[in-house]
Amino acid sequence: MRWRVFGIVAALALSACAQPALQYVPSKKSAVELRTIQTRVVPGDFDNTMRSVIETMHDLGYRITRVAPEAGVVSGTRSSSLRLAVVVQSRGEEESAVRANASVISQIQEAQVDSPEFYQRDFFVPLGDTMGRSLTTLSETDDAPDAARPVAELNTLAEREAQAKSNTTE
Amino acid sequence: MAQYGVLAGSKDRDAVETGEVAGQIALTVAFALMGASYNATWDKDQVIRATVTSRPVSTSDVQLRISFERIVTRNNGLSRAEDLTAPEFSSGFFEKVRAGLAMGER
Repeated sequence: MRWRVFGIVAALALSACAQPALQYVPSKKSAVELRTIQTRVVPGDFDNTMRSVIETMHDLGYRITRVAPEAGVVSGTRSSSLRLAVVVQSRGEEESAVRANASVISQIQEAQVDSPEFYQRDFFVPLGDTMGRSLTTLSETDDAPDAARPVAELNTLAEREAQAKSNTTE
Repeated sequence: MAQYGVLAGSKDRDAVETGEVAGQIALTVAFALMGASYNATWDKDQVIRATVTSRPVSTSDVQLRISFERIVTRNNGLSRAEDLTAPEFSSGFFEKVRAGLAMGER
């Protein structure tokens, strides 16, 4: 009996420690449709737009996980299940294109968000408010930045060690 | 990150509480004795994260904003985030900034 209990406890403890790798589930919408949903043209230069994106994400409760100025990418995590990556691309001196790409994390997968309402209401309207400007949608013939995949937040020592290990092997 | 007025910092803290672990193990054993299974989970790691953003409001003034969150990861890998909104967090931070600026002026 004692061994039976021990076996059950050990099995449960091991299963509780297992962390399945997240499977990325991209949207089923077409690339053109997704581009329209995720992209806006902003009347602002690159630096001012980058600052405004960061400020807006902070206001919306995102923790900024990475800023890559040379690529114009800002990545953040809200709560523990919503990730957002925003790409800023200069379009001349006074205009920038902004593309947002969000994903929702569950226990087994990371699903790309493709709801037009989410991007409009939960990012582009607040961004326009921060900048005090109106944002416009991109025309189908215009170039748009590629969507960036949000960076995962590393919250445990084990996650950071695994990341460091994968960085050294790359 | 500082180029665009943002700084992020974090501090690790062990989140394991003996009482919670003992309770969960006791439940697992009790369920096992009844022939049922119980998935024992408890808080394992926690990290306190701070995000600071700044914006120039005039040639001499900068507006600073700070937020604190605590992310707790359980032993099954699931995590939860909690906003740390107690005024002591932000007031402690701004006190240190003020003291640092005062030292810089001397």
